Amino acid sequence: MQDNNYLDLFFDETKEYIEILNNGILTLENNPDDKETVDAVFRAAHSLKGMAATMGFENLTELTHKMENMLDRVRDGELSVTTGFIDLLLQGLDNIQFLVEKIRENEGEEPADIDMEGFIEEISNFTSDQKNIRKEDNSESVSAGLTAEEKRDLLKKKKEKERVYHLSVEVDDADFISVRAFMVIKKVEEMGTLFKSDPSRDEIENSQFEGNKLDIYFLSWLPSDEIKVEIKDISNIKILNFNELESSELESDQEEKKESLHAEHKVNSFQSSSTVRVDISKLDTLMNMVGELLINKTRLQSLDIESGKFKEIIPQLDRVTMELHHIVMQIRMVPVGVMFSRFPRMIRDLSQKMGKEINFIMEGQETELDRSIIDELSDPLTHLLRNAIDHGIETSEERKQKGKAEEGKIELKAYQKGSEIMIEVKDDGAGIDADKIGEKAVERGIVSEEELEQMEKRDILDFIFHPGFSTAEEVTDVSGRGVGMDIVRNVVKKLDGQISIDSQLGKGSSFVISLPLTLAITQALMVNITDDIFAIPLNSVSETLIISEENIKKVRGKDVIVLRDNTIPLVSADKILGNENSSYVSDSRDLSVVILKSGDRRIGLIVDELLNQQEIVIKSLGSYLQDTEYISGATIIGDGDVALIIDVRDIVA
Amino acid sequence: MVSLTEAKNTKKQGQMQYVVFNIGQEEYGIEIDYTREIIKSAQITNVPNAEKHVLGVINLRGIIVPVIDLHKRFEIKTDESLFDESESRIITVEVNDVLLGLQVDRIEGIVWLDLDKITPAPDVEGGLKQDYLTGVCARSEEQLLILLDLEKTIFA
Repeated sequence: MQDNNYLDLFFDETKEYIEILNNGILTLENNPDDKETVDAVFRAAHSLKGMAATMGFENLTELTHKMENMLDRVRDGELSVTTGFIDLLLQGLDNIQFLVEKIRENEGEEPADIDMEGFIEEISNFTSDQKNIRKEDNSESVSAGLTAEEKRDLLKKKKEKERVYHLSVEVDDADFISVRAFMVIKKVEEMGTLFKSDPSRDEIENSQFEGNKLDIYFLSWLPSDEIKVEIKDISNIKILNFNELESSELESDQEEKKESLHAEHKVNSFQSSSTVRVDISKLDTLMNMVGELLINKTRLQSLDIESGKFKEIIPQLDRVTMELHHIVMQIRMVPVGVMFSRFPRMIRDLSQKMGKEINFIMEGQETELDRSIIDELSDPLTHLLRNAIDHGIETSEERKQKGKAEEGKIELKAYQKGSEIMIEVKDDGAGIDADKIGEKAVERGIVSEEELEQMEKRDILDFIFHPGFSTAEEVTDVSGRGVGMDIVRNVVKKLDGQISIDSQLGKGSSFVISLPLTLAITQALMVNITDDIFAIPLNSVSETLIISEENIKKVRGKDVIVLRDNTIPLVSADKILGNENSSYVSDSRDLSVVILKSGDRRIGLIVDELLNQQEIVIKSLGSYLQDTEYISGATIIGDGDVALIIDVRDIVA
Repeated sequence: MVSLTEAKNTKKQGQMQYVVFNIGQEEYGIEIDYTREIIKSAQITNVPNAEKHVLGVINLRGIIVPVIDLHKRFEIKTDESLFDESESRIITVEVNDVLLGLQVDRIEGIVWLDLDKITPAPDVEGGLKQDYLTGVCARSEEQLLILLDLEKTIFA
């Protein structure tokens, strides 16, 4: 068994490098000549190799070593980035992930029964296959031996009407390579000025000449044909290439851009060294401590001490705890791009497998969410995206027939809206047939036919989240949606979020997940319901009212109030919290109503008493009570007692 | 509060340690490895819509812990005359990573039991469902110690 600390670090870092590899390889697919990316991918493979070797994972070392070699040869221009190359890299990446996963399962030992030989041989075959080896391309390599600065110099000379020549020769005389080479240099110097040679003049003079090739850049006033004649006169050499360089070949704009990019990168990597890697559990502890502090601050505030100093200290304490809370929240925030980055690959693979053409667009990767939410969210999003490919987007032929663009479109967007983060998965596929969903729901006994008639389309579509519904296998064919939507909703609910669906038959579907910005601390309205204190998150409260009995109207036998021309249904908190016999109406006194909102729905909750508004630290009820109806969590109030948090979505939905 | 950490990790050959407590007139035992601590009954907040045997939740140093009433769980009739609130305790246990409190009428103590003295539970008419038990152990002539299968008691 390996030391756990190192192992955790290993997994952490591997994850990062795998992500770099993943993104890099996909970028390369679109821009095969992007040297920066080749370098980045190479470095990631190299680092992975180093780590694997340190930990003694032989298979992983070998595998990453091979991939590193492949990439190195691309850097040297020996291999070109082809589809085959990309596929092989992606397969390699899969194998890396597989191995890392196995190591994790095996508690830090590389399983002995895994054989990567086959794949490694595949890489070897690929890299030695002649057809994959890049052909020497003269037009491209002409100015390849020059740096940007040298090109600039040459360009300046050229503007002064001097000609720039490139000459490469091979010396046939094995015994006197240096002598012959020196003769070439001499000749060039007779005709003009030597600008650069490889090997250099000094190396040739000192006979440090390796190989038999000589590469020269020089300036001359003479026309090219005269020069060629002169050089041909030298015996025992063969001219491999001789030409005059055009201005365009010396334009170094592109190079300069890359250089400046490089400079930027350097700055970035320098800046990143001022960050610290912290175990997420430490952040959780910090968060809990801040929570405790907050609770105690509230307790202190409620003491109501008549002292000038006390009154002075409390606002200070208030400010400090608020700021502390704010900073802790910020530390925990991670851009959603971290999670999104795995999806392009998934979409690519799936669409290839299913023979569908899909244009996948991601937006808002920089939107930040709490780390714990991001970790949980990956599975539901994967599910939604899979469904979009699997059941949403039609085949190219079908799309053509329907008069749609042959290429389907899937969008994944993240953005902030008020105090919530929205994540949207949208496709322009077949859409969902609400009528069929309704039929199915009746068939399954989820709803009666009469009830269905009263329902709006939005509510009918919501049935696909019903557990009794989405476990039915044939739904796939009927609704155009796969199984497991109830699981998606459960995860989202667990994160205190909600998911809504909109679909136009034939035009596509969109799923919107909305999540609270932070999980742990929120403002809440405290209310009294049958002598217990409950908290209602303030972001789901639209307003509070005091009404009297005559304000209550009946619509289809149900109690409602009319508020600014909107009819809002009323429910008794007492009743939904277990007291079946509750009847507020017989009470002659005024009623306290909290108008709850979730999405664009509103409902009036009748409570016994409106108390205060305060900051609460949201605590989980734990897995044992997680599914309790109408209760989403708990918090600790001033006196150390527990107050339950009302699940507004449960009530309003 | 009684710390159980010292008592832990003391498995002997052929013996196991159990925490023994009373519910009504019966004596029950649970394996000590499940237990975390024993606390005096705290302020319990009722959780509406939870299952009947869930008494509510308590604040255990900032952690919300559900508390289970074993009377209701096992459908044992409570004899009010035997119940003395000052003796009532909550045993916190951790089962399958879930932290829970079990409210019991009285703590008897911590005992070593010989594993070969534990016998399968007899099928008693109207008694506790066999499913909840791992076995029984006769500690004396008149008292039979009932050993609970905590996983089933809590999750079944």
